[in-house]
Amino acid sequence: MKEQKILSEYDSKNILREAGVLVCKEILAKDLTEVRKAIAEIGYPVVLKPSLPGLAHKSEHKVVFLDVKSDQEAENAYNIIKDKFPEAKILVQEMVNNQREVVVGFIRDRIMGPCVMFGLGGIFTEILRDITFRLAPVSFKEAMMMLQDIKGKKILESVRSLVEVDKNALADIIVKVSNIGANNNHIKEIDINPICFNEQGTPIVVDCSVILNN
Amino acid sequence: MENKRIINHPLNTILNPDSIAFVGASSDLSKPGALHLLSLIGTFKGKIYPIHPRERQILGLRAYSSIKDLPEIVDLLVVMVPNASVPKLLMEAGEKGIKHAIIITAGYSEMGDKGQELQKEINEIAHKYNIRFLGPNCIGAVNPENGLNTTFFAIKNSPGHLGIISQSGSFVTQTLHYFSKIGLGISKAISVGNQANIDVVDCLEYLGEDPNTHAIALYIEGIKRVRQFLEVSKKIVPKKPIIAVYAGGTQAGARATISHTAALSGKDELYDGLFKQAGIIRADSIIELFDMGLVLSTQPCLENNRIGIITNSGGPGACIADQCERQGLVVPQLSEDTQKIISKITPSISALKNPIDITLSFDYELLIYKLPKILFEREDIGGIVIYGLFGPMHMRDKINSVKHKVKEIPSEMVEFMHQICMQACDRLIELKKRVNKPIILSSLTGAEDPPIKYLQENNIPVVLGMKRAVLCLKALWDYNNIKKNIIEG
Repeated sequence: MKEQKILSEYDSKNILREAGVLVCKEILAKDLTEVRKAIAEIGYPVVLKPSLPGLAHKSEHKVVFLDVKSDQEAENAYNIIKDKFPEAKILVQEMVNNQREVVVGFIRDRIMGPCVMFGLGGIFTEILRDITFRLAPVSFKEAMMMLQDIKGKKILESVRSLVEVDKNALADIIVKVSNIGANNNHIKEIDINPICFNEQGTPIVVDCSVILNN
Repeated sequence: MENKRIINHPLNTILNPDSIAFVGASSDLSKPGALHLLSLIGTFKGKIYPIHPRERQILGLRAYSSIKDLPEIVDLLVVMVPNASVPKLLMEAGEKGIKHAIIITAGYSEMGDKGQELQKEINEIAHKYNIRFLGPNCIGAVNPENGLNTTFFAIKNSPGHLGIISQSGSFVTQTLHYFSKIGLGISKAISVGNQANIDVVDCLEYLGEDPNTHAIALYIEGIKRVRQFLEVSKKIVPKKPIIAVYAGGTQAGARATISHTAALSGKDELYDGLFKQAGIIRADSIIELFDMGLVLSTQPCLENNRIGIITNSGGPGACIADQCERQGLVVPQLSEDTQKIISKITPSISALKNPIDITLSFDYELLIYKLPKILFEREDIGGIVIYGLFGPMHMRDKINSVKHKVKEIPSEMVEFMHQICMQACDRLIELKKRVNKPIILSSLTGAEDPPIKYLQENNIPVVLGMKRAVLCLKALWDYNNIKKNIIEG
């Protein structure tokens, strides 16, 4: 195994922000006072989680607190995170409706080279593996076709009380991620999971992890 | 422009040589060198020079003791000697001025470090003398047009329009008999082996330009130049469909392919994405690859996905209808007017809505000509599947089985059936030319029944089974959408 480096969630998202990808509102806080200040700015409900280089699969450590609604809940969450990861900073995020989750990813395959991926997100990425790949970079049209290429494509339509998602914006994220990966040889992997959707159906990046080659 | 690209392509000479020298030739029919040479002698229209250090005559041909002694600079050298002797031979060929070769010999990069060294050595020699070659570790190539066949099995079917590129020689040679059974005509078949010099991408480039190739079938274990593969495929697909089987995507498949052709296989989902990006239709099995290849290389576009089904048996008709809907094709109910017209010419117990089921009627012309004609003229359908053409073979079988017991059956019965059946086939062939829409026969009988063979020879594909026939229609529909997407792109 070559040496690699997993960026913190916040730093990973900075790469996306710079490329113009819409990322959820979030503030990095180092102590409880800053956490409270961040919550005051974002407003309940919020998400609290650690931001730490080298930390992937946060939810497996039971340190991701969704839908935090009160000061008491926030303080409990803060204490648990600090208990497990004393050196971690705390990421305070707006709570984005997570009824629908999709994933966009990037990998550098030893044979195929840079590839971009799209599919069902959250835990379903692992359970159903309803995902599709293309060689990166992709055109907007290729990205639009990727959206139609998963079995669960109806999740992007108007279902139950949910509006149709903004497919152009979602395809645009795929294009941008494919370009970020293809143009930066030191990026080994990008895992954006999940991307959720606000009431208007706009895709918003909620979690992201970037792995660099050394 | 097209012609120029074809003429300058190394595969053009390899597939259309006027003269071939065969190193490793043998008269001993227990040796591969004799069996491959026999295939070549059987059909090749050009000159063949067997090379053997001692023998003066091999399988009726004058043999030469070395490449140096050849009376001319041959277009193509076929090599079937042990791997360690190949570098020296290739050098001799280079000195002679020979520029093209097929290296059938195995024991190179698929055989560990020592093999890799040898492969590097022949690559360097080829580079030095500007030799382009297929292989090593391949079965060579087949071109039914000029009878070129360096492979083990004999060519059995007439030339057609499917071009085959395979990382397994088996699908280039062991299939030659199978092709004659399913009525598949091929334009060229190329076994690429370890792809040391000419690779899958080169072959795609060539077949993409080859006017006799109307569709391309690929058997892939691992692609070396992935990006070029994507670019070249994207250029070909608007002109002709490409269908592919990929076998290296599972752990077991990858283990098999690395020892087979040293192919660097990749995850199935990555190859799947690559094929979609390239506009390549993916087949699930070799049988499916050649079913689809047969239909895509002979049929016009399926411009809409509404399918007419005509049958004389309920079960097969139901299976075809059911499969159509499963595959995203539409089986529309026919209009009242059309049903009324059909009811006037069909037995009273017939089903008229679509599928049209004329229930065990042996009226050939009704089944394969009159009803398809009415459907094409009156209904908005993209293509037709017909099931139930039972030619004279079945009657002959029946008569043979009872002739000792039942004396009353007139022997001219079979001949009479043959005649009316062939007449109906002629009318179908003529209708097909007129409407220029896909017509597929689904059948449980193959080329052993004369009318089936006759239709196969006249561009009406007969596909075994119901699902397999529908999958071919689906492939036509997929290709239509792929093309539309590219053109609108």
